[in-house]
Formats: sequence, C-alpha cells, structure tokens
Amino acid sequence: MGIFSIVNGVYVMAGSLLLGALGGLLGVFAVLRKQGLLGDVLSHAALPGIVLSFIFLGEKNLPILILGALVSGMISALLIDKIVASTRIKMDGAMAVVLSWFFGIGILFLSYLKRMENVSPSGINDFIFGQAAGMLQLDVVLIGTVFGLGVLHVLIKWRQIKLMIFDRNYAHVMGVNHRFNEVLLTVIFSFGIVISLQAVGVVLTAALFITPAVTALFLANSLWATVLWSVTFGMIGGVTGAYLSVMYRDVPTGASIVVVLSLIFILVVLFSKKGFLMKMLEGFRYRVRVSYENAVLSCYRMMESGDCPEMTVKKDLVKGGVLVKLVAWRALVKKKLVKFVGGQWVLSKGGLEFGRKLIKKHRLWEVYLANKLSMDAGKVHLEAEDMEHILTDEMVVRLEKMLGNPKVDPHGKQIIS
Amino acid sequence: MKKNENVVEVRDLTVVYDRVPVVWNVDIEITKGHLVGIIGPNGAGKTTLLKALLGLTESVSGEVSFFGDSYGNVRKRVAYVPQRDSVDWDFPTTVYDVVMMGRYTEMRFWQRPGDEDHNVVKRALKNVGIEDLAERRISELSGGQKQRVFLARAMAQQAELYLLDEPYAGIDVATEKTISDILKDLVSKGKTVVVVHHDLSTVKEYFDSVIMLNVRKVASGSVEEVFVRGNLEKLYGGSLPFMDNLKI
Repeated sequence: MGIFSIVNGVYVMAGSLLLGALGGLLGVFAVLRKQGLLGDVLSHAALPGIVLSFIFLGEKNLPILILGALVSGMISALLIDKIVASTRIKMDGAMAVVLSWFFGIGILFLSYLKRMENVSPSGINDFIFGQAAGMLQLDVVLIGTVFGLGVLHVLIKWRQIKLMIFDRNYAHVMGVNHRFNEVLLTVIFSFGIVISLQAVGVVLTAALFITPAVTALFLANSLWATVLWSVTFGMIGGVTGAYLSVMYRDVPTGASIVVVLSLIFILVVLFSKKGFLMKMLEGFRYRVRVSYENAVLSCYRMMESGDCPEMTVKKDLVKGGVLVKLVAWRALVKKKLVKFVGGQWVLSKGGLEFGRKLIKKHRLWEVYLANKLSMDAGKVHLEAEDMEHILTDEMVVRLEKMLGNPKVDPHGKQIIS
Repeated sequence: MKKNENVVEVRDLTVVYDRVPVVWNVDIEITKGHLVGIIGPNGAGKTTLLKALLGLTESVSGEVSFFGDSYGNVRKRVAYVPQRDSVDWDFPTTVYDVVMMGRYTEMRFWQRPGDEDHNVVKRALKNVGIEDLAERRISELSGGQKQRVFLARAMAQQAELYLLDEPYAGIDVATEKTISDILKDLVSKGKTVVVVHHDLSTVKEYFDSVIMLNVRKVASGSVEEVFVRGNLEKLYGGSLPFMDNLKI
C-alpha cells in the first residue's frame, strides 16, 4: 500500500514538497537577516488566532484561520518591537517572553474550545504538532502561490536583496530601495510560516525554515549554492517527513520533518568537506606526517654526527600517540623510506634523500632567521623547529635564491643542494 | 569640468541623535582633485558627517550637493567605502562577487555582467593586489584583505568622488601602503578622495587637505596651513602630549 492510495495522497505529497521548497528558500534569507527566531515567534504566537477563528466560526475555515494566525502573529511582532524600543529589554528577551506568552494563551483558548458545545474541534490538534495528512487541494494552491511569489521576488530582486543583506548602507547608496525589499521579504516569510502551520505545527514550523538554511550555509560558498542546497534539503525533509507521518498514522508531521532535517544537518556537519570529521582527519594526518618526518630527521642527524653510521631506524624514533605512531611507522614502510636489511630496519636510499631535504629546509630557515631577521644564532634552532614540516619545495627554491645559496647553517652545519 | 569646481558643497548641515547634536552647522567645500582627510577626536561626528552626506543618516537641516547637483542624480559618480566592520563577513559570497557589486547599478535585473563589467572587476582586483584571492570566500580574509576588497568594489564603480570611512583602521602595514598609493593615484588622475581618518601621525603623509571636525567644524584647508598646533589644540580641547611627536 503506497501513499497515493490515500484519497488526498497526491495533495499531501505535492504540498509537502512545495512546503519544503518554500521553507528552504525563505529560510536562507531569514537566517542571513538574523530573523531565524522571528519564525519561531510568529508560529507560536499564531496559536491564539487559530483557536479564536475556530471558536467564532464553530468550524475549520482555512482562509479565516490563516487570517487569524497572521493577525495574532503580527500583534506579537509589534509588541516585541514596542518592548525593545521603549524599555531596556533586549531583542532575545522580548522574543522569548512574547513567544511563550502568546503560546500559553493559545493553549488556554484551546482547552476552552474543547469544552464548548456546538463546535467541532476536529483538526485543531493538527495545528500543535502538524498533520500533513489533512492537506487538500486548497492547501497546495496556497502553498504554491506563496512559494511562487517568493521565487518571483527573489529572482527579480536577486542583486538588490543580496546587496541589501550583505551591506545595507552600500545598498542604500547604490539606490536600492531596501525598505521595500525588506518589508516584502518579511511579509512573504510571515505568510510562509502561517500556511505551514497546519502541516508542520506551531511548535516546529520554524525548523522547516531554519534547519535547511543553516545546513546549506555550512556547505555552500555562494548565495546561489546556499539557496539551491537549502531548497533541496527542505524538499527532502518535507516529503520524507510527510510520507513517514502519513504512513505511520500516529506520527505528527512536524516531528518527522524535523527529525529528517536534523539528520541531514548532522550528516553535513560531520561528513562534508568542511565537516568535523574532515577537520579531525586533517589534524591526524598532519601529526602522522610530523611524526615520521621527525623519525627520518633524527636518524639522519645521528648518521651525520657519526652516532649511528649504519642508519638503523628503531621503532622508538617514531613519536606520538599510539595510533599516530602506528600509522606513521606504516607510512615509513609504505613510502619505502626504511627497508629491512640483515634483521633490522635501516634508512633506505629514498629515506636518506628525504632526510637530506628536510634538514635542508630546517637549516635554510635558520639561515633566514639569522641573516635576514638578525636573530641570535643560538636561538634560531628552536625558532626553526617545525618549519621543515611546513616549507614547500617552491618556498625552498625561493629561499635559497634569496639567501644566495648558502652552504652552511648558522651552526656551521652543511646544507647540501 | 573646471579645475576648481566644487565636487562637494555642504551648507549648514546639522545632525541630531536623541536631541544631542552630533554634527552642528557644518559648511564644507571640497574642490576637484584633492585628497582630503576628515580628522577629529572619537565621537566628533566624522562618520556621521559622511553618512549624512550620502543620506544614510537623516539631517535636521542643511543642504548637500555633489557636482552642483543633488545626490540622487549623481549616485554613480560617487563611490562609498563603509567601515569594514559594518557588514557581516560570514555572508556566503566570494571576493570577486563583492567587487562585482560595484557594477550593479550598470545592470538591469535580467542582465548578467558583461565583458566590460568583468574586465573592470578584474582590473580593480589587480589594482589592490588581490587578484589571486578572487574566488576566496570572504569569511576567510584578513582585515587588510577585507579593506582591499571594499576599495576594489568602490573602484569598480569608476566614480569621480570617493568617500572612505576609516579605511586605515586596524590593517597591516602593506595594506596601508597599498591603499595610500591607490588613493594618491586616483587623485593624480583628477578624482577626488575624502577619507575619515583618526591617526594624526599620518595626516601629513596621506592628505593634501584636512577638515577638522569636532561636532562643529574647527578648521579646513590645506594641510600646511591648517594642520597646525593651534588648530589641533582647539580640535582636541587643550594641548595633548602626543602633539610633540607630530613635529608641528
């Protein structure tokens, strides 16, 4: 049995797809304009308006209900503005107070509504946690219209919007009517929140707008890419979430959408190119490289000073944590920097060459510090520490040229070209 | 255009915040081809003055004209470099893209940047020495690099008058030199440059004229005539120890 065997299955799927796209699109601009929390306020504060429209009409009437939601959301936004403008209370404090205040009143109205006679409160519960299964043709048309308006505004005013969000003063100077664009974006955003309430619920609607955008911003390097990713994530979250909630009857849509979106967020933050795991891996790789390069270096130094002419590489030359040591040793063998001869590991020909290159980097840097930065010859060794892991071959060529191909370092040790 | 034509004319400009005047009855004339520093203590209204000229801050009185015309008619001929910290550098965009913003007034919404726009942007990037950072995301730039991006964006506008707000604040020595060279070069090509500046020790080196502002205008004119101990004492309210280091 698939979702399309439900009477309104087509509408549910189309509606949730559009809803996800809508959330993804408008969310990007809301987040960039630091209005993420406004979405939370608007959705929670819409509840009294929704319940009142039930109480007065005695039944569900979508347009009136949306109007009620919009009006009570707007009153909350104005209240917040007033509080911030006329007291010392800051934006976040005012938002938190008004959000819970309106939501509380909404819940009170709701319990009153449920005790009323002659009123069918069927469907009202959907507005708390969301129920996509109730979507009808009208919902799809409404969502589609707001999405269309959003796309149109963004496409036509793309450059103005970009300029205005990034640099408001510059936009003004360039003659962009930023007030108009700001108001229009906020109005479309508010409409978007309100028409999502039935499917996603007042408690979690904001997440449909914010989570895809935040995820996309983590990933993308341009505004275009951010919008495309965000819309894609929104659509995946919307459709998957709605599908899950319809197929498993008791799952509220808001919850299942948010779970899917959060999962995408976690995956991106962990596994994307800029994600945590990549960062950790990079750090680990660097430590491994430093570890085996140091091992080769110490072996080379011992050979040079005559302490170890046979160039034996003992495993305790490799330093670091257990895992670093293990991987670094494997790298030495794999890169054929060491070879197993006569029952012991010794530096290979390649290893010798590698050591010579590393020591050259270190000593060139010492020369640079002593000659160009006039540092004390006794100090330069410590200051040059680790530079042999950082200098690239190109930098070495340039350093050599700049320093006039020095033959010895400040301690009189040889630099072999 | 005559050599001595006034590029900026300000009459009786007053800006008030919360009933406290921040810019009071200021008259200014800036003639073409000058490199002008606006100097004064913190809170003297330097940035406010610049913003009021551009209509970014409402003024309670005064007349401002650019090239003998109202600002709305000559926008394209005026380039503005805001303070670096006034924008969100985490915005998802690249260096190239920000500099292209300087060309936005040239395009209608359905148009894409043309060859001319791309050439101008590339040249601006090269001029400020960041052509190799073109595709870098702006959140990854240093303070000096950000300032170069802003200057490149203004240059991409190919304006005649440049208004810069504290471009020398908190940047590295190399960037400071680059910016000063570029501004001098612009002036040598007949452009006019006005800079809000706070570092008195570099005034003589960077500017040929100064406007001394401390809510009211204290003095204005060429650096040799105006940037003298008497005026500085008036500007900063009494003698200040650091003046001995200025060799004036």
